[in-house]
Amino acid sequence: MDWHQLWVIISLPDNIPIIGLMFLIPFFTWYGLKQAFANDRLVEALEKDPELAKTHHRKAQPYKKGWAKEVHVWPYLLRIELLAAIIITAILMVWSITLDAPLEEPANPTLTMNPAKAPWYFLGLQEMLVYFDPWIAGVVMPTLIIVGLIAIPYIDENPLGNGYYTYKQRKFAIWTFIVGFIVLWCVMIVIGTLIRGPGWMWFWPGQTWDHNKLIFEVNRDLHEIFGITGRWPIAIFGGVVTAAFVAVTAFAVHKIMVLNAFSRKILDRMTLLQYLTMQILMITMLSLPAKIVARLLFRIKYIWVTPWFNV
Amino acid sequence: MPAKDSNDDPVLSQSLSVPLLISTLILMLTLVWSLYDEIYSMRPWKDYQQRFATAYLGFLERLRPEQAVREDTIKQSAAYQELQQNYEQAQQAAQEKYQALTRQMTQGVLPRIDVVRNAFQVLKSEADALTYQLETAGSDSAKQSLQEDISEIKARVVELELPKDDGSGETEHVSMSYTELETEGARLRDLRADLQRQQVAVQSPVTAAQQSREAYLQDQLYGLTPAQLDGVIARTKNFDIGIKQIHLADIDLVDRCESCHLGIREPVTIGKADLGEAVFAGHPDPDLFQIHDPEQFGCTSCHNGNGRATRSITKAHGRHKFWLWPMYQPENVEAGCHQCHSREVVTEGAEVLNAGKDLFLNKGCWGCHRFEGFDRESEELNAVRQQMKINRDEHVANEKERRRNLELGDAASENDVAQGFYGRGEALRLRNAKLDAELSALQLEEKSVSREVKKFGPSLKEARVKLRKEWIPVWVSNPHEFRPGTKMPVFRLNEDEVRAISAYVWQSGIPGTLEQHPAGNAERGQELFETRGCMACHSMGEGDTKQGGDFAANLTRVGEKTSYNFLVRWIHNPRELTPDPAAPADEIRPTPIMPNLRLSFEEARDIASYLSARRTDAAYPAADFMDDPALAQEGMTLVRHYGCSGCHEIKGMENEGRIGTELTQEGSKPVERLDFALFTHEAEGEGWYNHKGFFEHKLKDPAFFDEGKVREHLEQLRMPNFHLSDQEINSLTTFLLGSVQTQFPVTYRFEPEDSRADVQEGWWLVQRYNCNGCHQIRPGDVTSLMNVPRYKDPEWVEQLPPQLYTEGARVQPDWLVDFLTNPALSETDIHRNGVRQYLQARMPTFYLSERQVGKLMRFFMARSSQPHPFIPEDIQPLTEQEQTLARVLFTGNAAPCLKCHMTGDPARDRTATAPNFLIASERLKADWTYRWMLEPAKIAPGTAMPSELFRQEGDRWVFNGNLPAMFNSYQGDHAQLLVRYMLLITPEEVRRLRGSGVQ
Amino acid sequence: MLEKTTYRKVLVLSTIALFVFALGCGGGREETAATPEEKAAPAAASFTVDPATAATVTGMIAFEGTPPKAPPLNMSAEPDCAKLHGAPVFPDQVVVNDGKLANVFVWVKSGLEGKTFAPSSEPVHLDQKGCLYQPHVLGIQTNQPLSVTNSDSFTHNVHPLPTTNREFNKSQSAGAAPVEHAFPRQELKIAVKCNVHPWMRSYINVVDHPFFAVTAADGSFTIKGLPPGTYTIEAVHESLGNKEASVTVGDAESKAVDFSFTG
Repeated sequence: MDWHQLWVIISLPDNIPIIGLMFLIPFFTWYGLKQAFANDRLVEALEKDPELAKTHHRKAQPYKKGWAKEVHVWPYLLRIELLAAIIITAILMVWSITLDAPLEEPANPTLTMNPAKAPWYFLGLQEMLVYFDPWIAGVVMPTLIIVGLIAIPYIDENPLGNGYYTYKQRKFAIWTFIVGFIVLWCVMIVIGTLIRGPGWMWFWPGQTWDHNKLIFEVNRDLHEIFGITGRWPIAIFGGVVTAAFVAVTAFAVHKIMVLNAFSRKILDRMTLLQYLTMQILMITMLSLPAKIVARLLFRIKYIWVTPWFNV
Repeated sequence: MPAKDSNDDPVLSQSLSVPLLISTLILMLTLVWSLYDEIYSMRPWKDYQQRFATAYLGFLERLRPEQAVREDTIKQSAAYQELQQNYEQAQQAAQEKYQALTRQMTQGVLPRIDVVRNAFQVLKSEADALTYQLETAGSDSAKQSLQEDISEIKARVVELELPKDDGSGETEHVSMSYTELETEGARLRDLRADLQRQQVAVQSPVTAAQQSREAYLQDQLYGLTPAQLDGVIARTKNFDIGIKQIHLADIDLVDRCESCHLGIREPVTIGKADLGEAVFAGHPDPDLFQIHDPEQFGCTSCHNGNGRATRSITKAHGRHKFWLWPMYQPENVEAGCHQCHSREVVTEGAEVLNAGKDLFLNKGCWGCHRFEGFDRESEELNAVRQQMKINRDEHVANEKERRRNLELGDAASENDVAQGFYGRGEALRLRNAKLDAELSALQLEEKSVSREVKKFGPSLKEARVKLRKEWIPVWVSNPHEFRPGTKMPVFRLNEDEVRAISAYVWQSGIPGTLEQHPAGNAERGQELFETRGCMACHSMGEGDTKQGGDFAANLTRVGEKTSYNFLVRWIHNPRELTPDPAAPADEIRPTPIMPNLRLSFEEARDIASYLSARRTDAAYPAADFMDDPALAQEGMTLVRHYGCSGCHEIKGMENEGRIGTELTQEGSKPVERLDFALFTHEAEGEGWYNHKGFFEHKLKDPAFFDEGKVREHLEQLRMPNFHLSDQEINSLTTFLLGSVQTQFPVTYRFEPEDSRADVQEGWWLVQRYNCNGCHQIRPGDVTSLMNVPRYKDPEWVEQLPPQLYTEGARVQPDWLVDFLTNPALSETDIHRNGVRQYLQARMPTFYLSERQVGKLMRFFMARSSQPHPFIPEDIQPLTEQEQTLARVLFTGNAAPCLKCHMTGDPARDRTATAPNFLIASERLKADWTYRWMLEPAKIAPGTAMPSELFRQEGDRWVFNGNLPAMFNSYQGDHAQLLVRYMLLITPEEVRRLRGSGVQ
Repeated sequence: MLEKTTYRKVLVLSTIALFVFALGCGGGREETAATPEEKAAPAAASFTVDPATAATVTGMIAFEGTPPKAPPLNMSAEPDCAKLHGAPVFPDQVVVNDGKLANVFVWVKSGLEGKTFAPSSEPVHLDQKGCLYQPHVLGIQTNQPLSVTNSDSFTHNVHPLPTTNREFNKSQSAGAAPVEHAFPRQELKIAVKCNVHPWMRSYINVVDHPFFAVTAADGSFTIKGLPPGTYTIEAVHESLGNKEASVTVGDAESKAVDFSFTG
């Protein structure tokens, strides 16, 4: 256990945000969900009580009978935001005093640093490069992420659950978020920061980042396992497998959609376009974990190899 | 924060004032903190400057009284008192006159000038105004009237109360016209100027006396005068705190080092302890600032470190992972010199660096590692040959083009066209004629340069005739065991490799036969070995009994390895090589460094017999395997692999390249490129993950970074072990650290075009041929011979070879060239020294090329800053009377010249102990000879030539001793007379001397 | 390597980031290493011996065996010299009179540490007579004036060859003023030579105290005025080497220390 190495990594000014992120994201997720469940219970309780249910009422905790059903943004919301702003400012001040910008030596075109790492917020993308062809990881995926984020409000039109924390109304969205953002994005950033050492090799925390480390690793393409040869057969085979994956995932996603009455209702409201867009986004998103597993467990490099692109 | 009543709505009732208050307070605190950080934490130098100001002030105030006391003692001294009196007298003498002048000036002339000027101004301005109107006036009538007005003004007479100009203070009533005023004004201005001149004239003796007094004080007092100290104290009292920085715009260098190192450039020398903190000490070598003014060079340009950083010592000194130019450690500080002094092998004052370069040159590092400047001969040779090839090709092309032109001309229909072609053809032919001239010049240079090319080690082509067969494997396996401290390093060879290499060396040797020599007299041999100067380069004995120089091999056991007959040949003439029947006719073999001492065969035999007896009774196992051709084949690949031909001349490998990496800019190679192998993390942990650490470990044990690696034997690091001492390692490390790609423009580098370049060039030869094994060239040099006990004996001190501090001033360049080419100064009688025949040690013949001789000559001339070319001043011939005077003085008993100096008379010269002055005329320079006779000790400390031969009498030097009566009438300078006598001496005069000389 | 302070700062920051209300203190600066050295002690005042207690060391230096027979000096280079001496002159290297050795320099080598003695202003004389130095061996105190005179009718040059003191080489013609010099540092066996007459040789022994003597023709020597104490006495001969002996003298005591050299 190389404590010195560990300390060097986590104390690097560049890595502080990630260390913070590792604790803060779970905390706030938990905190948000807590509130969401509380609210849902409240709503349930209210709906049971017919006379209350008749009137409009506040769906968010804390709530007691007789309390104002709505409160004004000013001062009740803004003062809290002000408080938050002050605290954040204070933190940023201290941060900027105590930690210098992580400057390094003048760039030397003839000498690449090792490991060469992107800024912390891009380390997820960089980590993706391990699993996908640069074209996909570097261009397609990022574009889809942005497009997808833009598309969300047009896909999810459910007016319920706006303006307060709720789980009941947003099961699907929340899970997508947890899988897509926390598991895939944040975890990959953490990996890229703390786990990937010289030569972008996998070092468990506390392992020495040794430039001389060599690992034996043969990455095969899927077709090689099945011993398929020839340009077209390979392309076709890859296409079939990919198609199969798409089909399976699509089916799975659909199954989730029709799991219960609530989501069925939402599905009914969706237009075909919305549905397809959502499917595409979901499939692309889920292809990442699939590929990670394929790569890390089965050392498979590409599923679908064509003269133009690899997947 | 619970609500007052659990039934109230917390969102409405709950007050956030407390958290708001607290967080606001925190925000305020962070604000304060950031301000503090901005003002103090980020500016530690402020604190330094406060500490410095107080400490320095205290120091100065301690210092001032001491200086005051010193000054007073000087002021009490008679000399000062006298000067003081002179001053006062001069003042008194001048006083009256001066006061008179001043009075006339202040009470007479100046006030009078005022009155006159004012009066004149009034009139003039009025007239001028009218003149303008006149110029611009339209009608002639108007002009007319204006003209009249003007002349009216000019005619007007003014009444004035004028002070008298004699300074009496009285006034006179005068009436003056315009013109009169004008003239009066001019007169007064002249008078004023004249008075000022007089004042200066009167005052000049006073100022002169004062200056001489101050000059004396300055000259007598070390350090600053109390007055000057007061200035410094005043400056320190109102010390303004702020960044002290040097900015060099042209190289964009900003150095703020002096923001903390405040004592560096103070006029008062500050010791490390004087201010309590070493950081405030003055620069250890302030003289450097004379030639490297910080305002021109900054600090980090030499010392490295981060001149801009002011936040912490670590940052400012660049001791930081990401700063590429960390400050040199004290023991390597001279590394900073090299980047600008890279052309030099000897840099005055940088002794560690010089030692490093000397090691690089004389341990043969350049055999494997290219380094610009080292072994430039072979590179120059290649350049010349390249040029010759280009030259030849062009020649051929021209010839072809010419033929074509002629053909075209023949075929041309028009005459003038034909003429054009013929003309071009002709031009090309002439062009070729020019090329021929160039070519022959190049051929000459090639010849010259190829004579200079040398291998570092001995030629292995001689192995067969020279070496004892069984000895070779013993040596190859571990040279340092046979000969501790030898330059041949220990390679990482296993038993088989040793056998194979030995076999190849043995079999690649030229099979030749040596002339058989009878044994000589070993005793005489020893005497010769110790006195002829062999020990300037070679050493004898091991450990404490070791004597002699380290430049060449230690010969304690030479008898075990070298054959007697070879030794004789070698000692008699090292340039005599075994002819190689197989070699191409035009082959140029590199010649050995060992020069020819012009010994007779008899002497050579004696020395050889002595050396052959230098042996232990070590047993050598038989080595028949060395005749196995198959083994030799293996050996060849190994010899290639280990790069033996880098230092040795080996048959079949004359043109092998170097196997090591080039080191010219090793110091600026990224540290990631230095292969720390498995030690990277250890080094980082222990803080030697940097160039210094790498070099030191590598030099200490070249195999170090193989430790723990699993490698094929032939894949291992090849660098052999030189068993360097820690001091040597430090010198080499310093040199390598300094070997960087400088960021400075040419203007900063020391690459002079004038005679200083000759000095740079010359040092390379001096170091290469170990001139300072015998001669002292820089003050303080200690030659190898001086350390040989024999030469410490009073009988022998004068047997040391001459000191060359001012050789350039002493001898004439042409003579020096002749001497260096043939130190015997004779074609026939070569077994002798040309000048100092009484010296046992012999100036050898180095067979220098014309280029080298020229370089050396210019080196000596430049070192004594002699004009080049040298035009001797013609010496005024002696009159009959002077001739006799000089001769009497020269041969007389009083002046012992002839007691020591040679005259070319064999009988006397046997006992002579000083150079032959009969060659003085072509050898010496008159002015130097004069200075020499007056005070030899100044020029050559410890010389046998006594001082005080002459004493000063007025402005001439007269002989210091009882003179013949005939001198009473002679008013000339005696030393001068002797110089002229010597430099103009004629053969018949010589004959007379030989007759009369000995008495 | 990152700076230590940065570690501290990082620590500070991470705590702050996690527990919003924690207050941090950070920012530090390395200290300069400043080591003041103490000033050198002032020189001790010169020591004076109380004549009442002053002790004396006398002795006799014997020579065993046959003295080496050196060839006579070849003065042919300076005929006047040869004339001056009727008989051939022999070098003064080993002068033995019935078993007693002359020209040996005897001095107190150790035992006087920490005491400094004012140099005597009495000049020591060295004369050049008949191309020989008189005396052949002499002792002198540091900074005590040495005066070299030339009683010959021709020029000599005075050329001492010290190793620690400063070397000089002055021409001295017949009847010229004496050459004055003082040696500031202790040094034994400074050879004095005349380059004009290479056979001339004399040895000057410079000692930083007045307790030394040169054996007379009869081999005897006396060192007077010693403060009581234990001393190492050394006898130094130019060619026969050095001999040491230890002696303890009480108040106003006189002890004898004899040495003997063998040829």
